[in-house]
Amino acid sequence: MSETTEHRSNYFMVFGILVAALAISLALAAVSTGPIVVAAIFAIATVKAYLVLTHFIHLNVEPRFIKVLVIGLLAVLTVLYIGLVPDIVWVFGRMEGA
Amino acid sequence: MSHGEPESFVRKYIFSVDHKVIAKQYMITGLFMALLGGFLAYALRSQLAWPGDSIVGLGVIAPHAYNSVVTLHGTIMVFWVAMPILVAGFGNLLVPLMVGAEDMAFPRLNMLSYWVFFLSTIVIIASFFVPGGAAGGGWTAYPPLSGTVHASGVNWGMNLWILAVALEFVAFLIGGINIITTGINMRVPGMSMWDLPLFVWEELIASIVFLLAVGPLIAGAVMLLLDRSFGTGFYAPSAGGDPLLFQHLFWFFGHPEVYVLLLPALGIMGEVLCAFSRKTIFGYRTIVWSVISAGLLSFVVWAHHQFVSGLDPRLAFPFSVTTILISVPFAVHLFAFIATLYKASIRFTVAMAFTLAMIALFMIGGVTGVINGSAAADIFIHDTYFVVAHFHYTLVPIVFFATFSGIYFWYPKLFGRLMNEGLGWVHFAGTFFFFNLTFIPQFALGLMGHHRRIANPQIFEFLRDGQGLQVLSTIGVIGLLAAQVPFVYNFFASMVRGKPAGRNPWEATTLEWATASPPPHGNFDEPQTAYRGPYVYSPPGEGPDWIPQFEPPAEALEPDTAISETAS
Ligand SMILES: [Cu+2]
Repeated sequence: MSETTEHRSNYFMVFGILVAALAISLALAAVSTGPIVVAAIFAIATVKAYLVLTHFIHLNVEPRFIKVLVIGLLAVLTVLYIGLVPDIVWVFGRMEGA
Repeated sequence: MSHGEPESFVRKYIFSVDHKVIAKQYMITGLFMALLGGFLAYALRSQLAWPGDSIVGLGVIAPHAYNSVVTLHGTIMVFWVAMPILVAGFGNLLVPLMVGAEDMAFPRLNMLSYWVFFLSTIVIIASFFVPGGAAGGGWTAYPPLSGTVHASGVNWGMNLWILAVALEFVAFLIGGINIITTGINMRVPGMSMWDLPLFVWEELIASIVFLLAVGPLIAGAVMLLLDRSFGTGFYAPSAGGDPLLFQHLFWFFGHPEVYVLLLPALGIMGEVLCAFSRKTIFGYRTIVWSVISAGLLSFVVWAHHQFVSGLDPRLAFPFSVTTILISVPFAVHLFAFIATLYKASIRFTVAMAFTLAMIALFMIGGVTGVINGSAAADIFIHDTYFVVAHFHYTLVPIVFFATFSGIYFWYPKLFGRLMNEGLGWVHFAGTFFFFNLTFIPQFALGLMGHHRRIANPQIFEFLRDGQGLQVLSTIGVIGLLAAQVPFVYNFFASMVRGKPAGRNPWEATTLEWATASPPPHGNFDEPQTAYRGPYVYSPPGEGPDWIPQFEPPAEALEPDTAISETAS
């Protein structure tokens, strides 16, 4: 906030990286849907989300309070995910093979 | 920013960017929707008291229509009454004034927020008139009831419900960002975060909680819409989905949402309490920290709504514990309010009466909440009228008692005049009495086993004895609605006939009382400074029993030096 001068990201380069990452994810999914590949796709998605947050949502130039809010949001999502696991991920006795 | 240029009628009263006009728009829309929600309450209560009879003003309610009435009563009261009045109405009116700003941080976004909300209001009202009627799946819109057309017989009504709620969330997200930015960035010189009036703190935290909680429900609603309209199976077990997922997503938002409503209400009460007990709030920082911790805890209690819906039993214990734990910060908060009253010279005004009644009634709501929060007890009372009575003992004090308190208190800042206290006391007495008459019988009915979603309790043998209580409760709601007549009259008549208020009729300390009533465009005639904390009442020594936050320190140098000279 304090420096209103040029602090621009190279949007086209970031966009290029995002497209390339998408292409890699799709290619991986075409090769296999095993657990390692799925993990890799999620890892790539995380990197993409990080790039979007920092460059397109401008977190790299925002004051600390905004970053704290984003961290809070991620913490909240983590809590939600943990709460969902027993019911939605481990479907004991409800679907075959679980 | 430009002040005082004459504007066209449309710019001034309809598409206005002035936070005070937008506050009035939100409040009046909310109060109008409260009449609609109240009428639905009257309709559903009449059906329960005299099942199948024709209801004055509506006719006979068919069973599926009863579902719509219940669903829309809840939906409207939470999303179209509580949210616009408490969060957006009072937030818009007071946050800029209390921090000494000339408007919200983003006035145009503010206007957009109201008009998106207005659109959502049109959509939800329109949903009554589409083929199949309005949504009938309950205000929580659980699938499978809400997930397919054949489950509830409602097609467009449910789609419009989802659309309306989504639009409403957009409006309050925009509004919330505005409130957060204004409260943090637009404070006058000298006002640290620890000098903020309690109301601003509570609005800030409420807005942040809303911001963090709303995402999962929006995702959930999109999936619901996809299930209904595009044949996906997120919530359909036949397609590998799980209806429980929606309950998780809904309550992950839904419980924090209750606090989004509660916190502004507590903020209103804090201001009223200080002004009329002529005392500094007891434990200001303790209150703020208890609100922050309640905000954090509110994200880990949601599954207490799902103890009987097939939740993994291992989750019941942790969610019971967090639920019972969350009563601690609120107990701290309320006891700080009660301690504020200790040895105070209380001024009994209508605003104060509503706040004091709110404390008492909310205690009943809170204590019965602890009973519900225990998983073992909840299995017995889940979805009964005991729970209905519990949450009305929390939400009616929050949404109506605190709102009335705030309206009587800040009416000068809305319309420049005071409301009539005599009519106000009639309003208060009627509201207090008939509220209790409505909901005390419901605790008993709930323990008898009256399930909340049945249209005719008389078909159950074990509920027939309770019919007298049903009638009592219905008489209560009719009285409660009748008790609002003096308020509605007072609200509109005082705009022209009320006693002119002057700047600071209550001799209060915060910055909104530094300016004219009603404040002009741009709010303050001159830039303000905060010289002290928000609640300096009854300072030791001679002189008035309050020192406003905006009053420069008296030129006390001379007497001081005089004393030190004589001392030395
Ligand atoms: Cu809850």
